[in-house]
Amino acid sequence: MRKINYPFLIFVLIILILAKFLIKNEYYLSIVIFGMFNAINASCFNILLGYTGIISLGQAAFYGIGAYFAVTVAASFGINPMPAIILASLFSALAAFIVGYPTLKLHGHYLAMATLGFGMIIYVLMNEMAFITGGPSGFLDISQFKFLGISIYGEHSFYIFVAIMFFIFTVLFEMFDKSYLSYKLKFIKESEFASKSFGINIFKTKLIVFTITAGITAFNGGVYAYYSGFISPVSFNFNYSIELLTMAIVGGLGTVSGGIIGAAVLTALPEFMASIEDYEMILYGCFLAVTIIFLPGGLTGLIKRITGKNASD
Amino acid sequence: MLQIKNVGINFGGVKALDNVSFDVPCGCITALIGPNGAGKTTLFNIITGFLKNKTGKIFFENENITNAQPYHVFAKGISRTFQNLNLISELSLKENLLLGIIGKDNPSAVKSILRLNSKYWHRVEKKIDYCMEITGISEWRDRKTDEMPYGILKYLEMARAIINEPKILLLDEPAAGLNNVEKENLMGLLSFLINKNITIFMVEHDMNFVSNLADNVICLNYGKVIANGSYADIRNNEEVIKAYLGDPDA
Amino acid sequence: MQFIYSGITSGSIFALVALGFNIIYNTTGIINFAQGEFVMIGGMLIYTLLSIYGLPFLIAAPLALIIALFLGALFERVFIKSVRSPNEIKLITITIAASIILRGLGMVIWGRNSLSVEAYIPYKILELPAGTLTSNSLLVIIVSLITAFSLSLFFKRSSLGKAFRACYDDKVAASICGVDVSKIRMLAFGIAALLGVIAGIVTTPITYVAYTDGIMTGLKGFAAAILGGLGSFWGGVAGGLLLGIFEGFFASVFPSGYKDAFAFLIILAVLFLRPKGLFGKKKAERL
Repeated sequence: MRKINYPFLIFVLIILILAKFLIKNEYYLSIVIFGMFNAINASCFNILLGYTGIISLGQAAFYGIGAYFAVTVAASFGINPMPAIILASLFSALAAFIVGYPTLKLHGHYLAMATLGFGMIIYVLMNEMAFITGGPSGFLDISQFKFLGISIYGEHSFYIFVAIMFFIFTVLFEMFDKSYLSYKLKFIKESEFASKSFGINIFKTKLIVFTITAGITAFNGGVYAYYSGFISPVSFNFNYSIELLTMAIVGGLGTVSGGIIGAAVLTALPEFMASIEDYEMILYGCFLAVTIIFLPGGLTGLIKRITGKNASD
Repeated sequence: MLQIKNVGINFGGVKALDNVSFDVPCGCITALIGPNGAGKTTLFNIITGFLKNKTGKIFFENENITNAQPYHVFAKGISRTFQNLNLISELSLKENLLLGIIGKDNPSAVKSILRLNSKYWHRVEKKIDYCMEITGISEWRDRKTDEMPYGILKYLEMARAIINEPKILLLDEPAAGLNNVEKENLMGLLSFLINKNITIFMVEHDMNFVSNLADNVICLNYGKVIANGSYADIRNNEEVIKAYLGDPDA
Repeated sequence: MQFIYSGITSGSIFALVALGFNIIYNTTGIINFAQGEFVMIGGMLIYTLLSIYGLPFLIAAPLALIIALFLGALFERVFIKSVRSPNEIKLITITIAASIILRGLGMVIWGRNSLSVEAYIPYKILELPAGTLTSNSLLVIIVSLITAFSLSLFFKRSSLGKAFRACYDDKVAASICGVDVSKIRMLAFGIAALLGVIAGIVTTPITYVAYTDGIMTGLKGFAAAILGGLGSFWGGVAGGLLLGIFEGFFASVFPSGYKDAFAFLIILAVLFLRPKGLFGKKKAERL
């Protein structure tokens, strides 16, 4: 097993701390927070696609299920935010298990379409089941966020909470990446034929990975709902799944920093493009296309080549 | 050790294998030869559990493994190599070797992520070192796989196949793409493995290789067994000669 | 029973999109996630040629078709051919990227609003048993059928069509026989774009066109293709019509918002229960 890249983790930690001290403007702080939410989602997408070879075009649905389930259950049963978020995460994992069971037996474009279909159905349900979700106009009945008795409200305190959550996730992701588990998944992605021949139960492994990433994404969604104070189906539609796909690929599939870099670039992009907002979609698509054609390792791969890193890092 | 009984399979309208029966005895080297398209790799894929809709039965150590899933076949102690290697290019040689063993040991994922089972991984390191030594690739242990020449990768693939201590090795054209020196080394390695009680069943085209190593030879043509015996028997078998060189009377 | 007529109309569009999917799939093995965008472009093109340049329909329509062929070939060169060492994931994601770019271009060139064109033939309503059909809808159905038949004749009779079928069966053998596989791929995308644009042209008088239309149209066309059996020519047509009719029935029974979910339920049902679809043939599996 490889050594954990401590410099990388320390680097992330320093950036997170610096950001808190240097960015006073709440608007820019909120962008960083959104970036962190996206980074976690993109990293989960990366685990599915970049490590295991699963194209989950409905991944946004789990984000939405986490968000809606948490706030709905909290509002209907008077549960505190954190327990509600944990329940949402478990519910999403269960949904992923049920959906994944028939779906993960498929491959390639069939799998992509099936996950897409699932995501779309969830989206329609979010819109139509207005008596639970509030429909297209969204869900407003979101209480204040309390964690261990502390009330967390506003950009500054939420930043600290989300940054800690993000850092813990990154540490765990790094430990996963340097463990045999990441090789096992990459073996499956590289050749299902060979990995089956070496005793790996592909279906069971894929199902576990799918379930866990759904749970993490849903947890993220729950926190996002409380941070945002308002959620509507449009944040969890097919477009968001495609955004996650773009972040993961542009950042670099199969790497820890891929989701983070991809999310950072693509979350910040609209801010720099305020004047040419109309071209945002074309740029997105071009980033994705250029990365696929010219930079298969994404931005992370590019950085590794420039700094001359090798496999043992 | 391995018994193939009346195995047949169709692909579309083509009979890829037709009533194939033979035994692979324990503790020696058996070679499967035959012209291209005779069905040799298909047979390997059937034995390792990848093809359904076949007729016939397969027994391993008297146990019926005809309908076993690939990971069950592996668990029984059947390990194999491939024509196209299937190594992960971005990993180092050492890490690719790991792949051969995780399907067998199934170490706890949680413990591994949290770095709690270092004793186990220490043992695995030792196994990796050993396998690299006997295949002669220790020198390049930490090098990235996509930097290595083909010969080294072939040895790596062999090492991966033996690290899980199999009972029988299915080798798919082990000598293909190797130069003469590498082939000599490979012969030495295979003899060494036989002494360690690993049975070898290989598909091969290189007749020199086969003549030096194989105790048993089975020849396949158009999905049928046309000869089964020692190399000396096969060499003079009319059917075999016709299969390879064509029928002069046809 | 009105849903049958509206179902056949929308089903004809799905059939054309499904045919586009199947042609590309049969020659290259790729699922073109941007197929729906060709339909959107078709609508946008005819709008531009008719309303902005004021061309008569009999000039605008053929011109749009020629542009379509060219665009499809260009698409293949820019997106597909340029992917070195292609694998399944790269090919799936590059067509997703292409669809994003086409959508973005659609928005930039034609704006965010729905655009419409005037009907191509005089507006009439046909009284039929248990329902009515407008002349626009009838045009959709007739054009789709003619297109399907023409295409089918092209594949059966012309030598170029036979080259296509050769590529489907065995690329290597085809190229040994002198078929230029690379040109055939380009042509496949050209024809798929052509089918999409035809669909876009006939449907715009009825449903208008907006830059976001491509997603749903493409997905429903794909649902039709796998319902009929991926790769099967007439399966795609049948799948399209069936999907249209079932969707229409579904919409008449359930609240309208759920209508879109129906196609996805079909996708899931087919993939889980009968992946070959209704008429699909499995290619012999070679390892």
